[in-house]
Amino acid sequence: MIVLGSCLKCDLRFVEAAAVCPECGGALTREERTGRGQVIAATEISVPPAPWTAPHRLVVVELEGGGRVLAVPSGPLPGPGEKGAVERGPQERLTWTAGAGAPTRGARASRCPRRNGAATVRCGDLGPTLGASFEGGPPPLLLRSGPRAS
Amino acid sequence: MTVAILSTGLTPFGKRPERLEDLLAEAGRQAIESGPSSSSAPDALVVGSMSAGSLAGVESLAPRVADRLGLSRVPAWRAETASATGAGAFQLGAHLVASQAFERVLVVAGEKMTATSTVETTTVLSRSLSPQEVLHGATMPAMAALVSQLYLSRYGLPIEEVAEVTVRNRACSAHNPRAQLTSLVTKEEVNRSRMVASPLRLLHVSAISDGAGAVMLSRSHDPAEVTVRGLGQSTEVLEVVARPLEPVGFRATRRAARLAYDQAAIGRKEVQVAEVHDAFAPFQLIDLEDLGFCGPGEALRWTLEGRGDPNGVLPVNPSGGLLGRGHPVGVSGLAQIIEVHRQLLGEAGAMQAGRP
Repeated sequence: MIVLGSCLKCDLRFVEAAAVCPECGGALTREERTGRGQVIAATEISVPPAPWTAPHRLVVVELEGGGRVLAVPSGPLPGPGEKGAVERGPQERLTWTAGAGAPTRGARASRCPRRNGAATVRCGDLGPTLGASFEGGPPPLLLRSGPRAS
Repeated sequence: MTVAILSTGLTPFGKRPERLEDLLAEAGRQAIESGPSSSSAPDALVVGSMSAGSLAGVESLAPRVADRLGLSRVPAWRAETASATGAGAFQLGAHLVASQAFERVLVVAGEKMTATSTVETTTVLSRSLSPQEVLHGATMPAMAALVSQLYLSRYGLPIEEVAEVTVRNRACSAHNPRAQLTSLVTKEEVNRSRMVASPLRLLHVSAISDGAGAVMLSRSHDPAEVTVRGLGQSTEVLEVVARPLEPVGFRATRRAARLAYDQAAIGRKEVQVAEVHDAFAPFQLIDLEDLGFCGPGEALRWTLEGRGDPNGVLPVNPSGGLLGRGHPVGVSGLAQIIEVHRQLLGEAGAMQAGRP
């Protein structure tokens, strides 16, 4: 499962850890995605930064349910439009695997019931998540706590 | 308060043996000495460099440059806005004059990129990306490749044709005595050059380079001076893939352009020459659209029709741009301003736009 930050004010979705929305400073909630999605851009780099070795590949994945992530493909460079899934791996890195992933029913966003009112939302305010797997404990939380979330 | 560009200095770009602070001083000295009179000594100094510590092993850059210019008694600051550092330093300098805090401000900017290996330089530059992107091994060329691919696929444009941007800019830099790359290239050479970050090839990418530039800013006293009519700057969400995709481009550029046009009280049609950020060839096309010179997806056709050539309807990058001049990241924005200043004075020599 992939966790995205989502702004209650401007609807920006992002992966980067943040206390407030980087676009508008608005309060955040979080949304879960199954990781299933489609590649919209891919590149192979000849001179990657350490510790990566060439050829290093990157993909931009449009997730089912909304939001985009950068990931490292597990196999050959996929082409735009290729479907598959993103999983979180060691060191919080996202890995893309073609044709893989959980059922699409889990792609629905988990929205906070206070979305239209609260200034800041705590993680515990999140509603139930449809289709997202919580086996083995809660999902990794990338979002840093907001002012009221400590 | 009107701010004038009194004088400029620009070093040759390329692999230079000098230390960064010496390159900066060389450009600064040119600007001081080419001013209208000996009274043009600055009373403030702004120094721009993107990654002086990591790439050149030097910190406290502003006082070091001040020392070399005999300006140790004047207030001095360092400015940094990633690849826009040179333009950011210029903007700060202009505001210092416009605010009437200072009469004359010297702005110098530069970068020393060839003292480190390509891998080291690439790694340092990648640190300006979002941590999430760095975590996955992203580099500047990689993120540029992804943005370029989204742009090209959105409008159904072939990457092979984008080679024309490089071909045309290199034709211009062949006339630029300060450019790093002065040889002509063909479309075939661009499309056969080695892949850097697919679909971007080596000749789609501006060169790692050393260099520095400087401008002396002052309150305007003479109607014949080139003055700053409008300035705009904007930042953007750091995580590139989180940015809105429609239209594909850079919202920061669009916001900055709107600010500059509004402040100058002119429209895009009144612009007669433009230097745009072609660190990667497709970015020149995106810039032309973000700046309002072309509609979405139209910049490639516009370019292929020669409208941006030195004798076209709107000369674009007559200096050769970053693709020809080289891209010492901290100075490119200021170098663009210096090149435009020379164009406006009619002092661009063989690069002068509008020549038959």
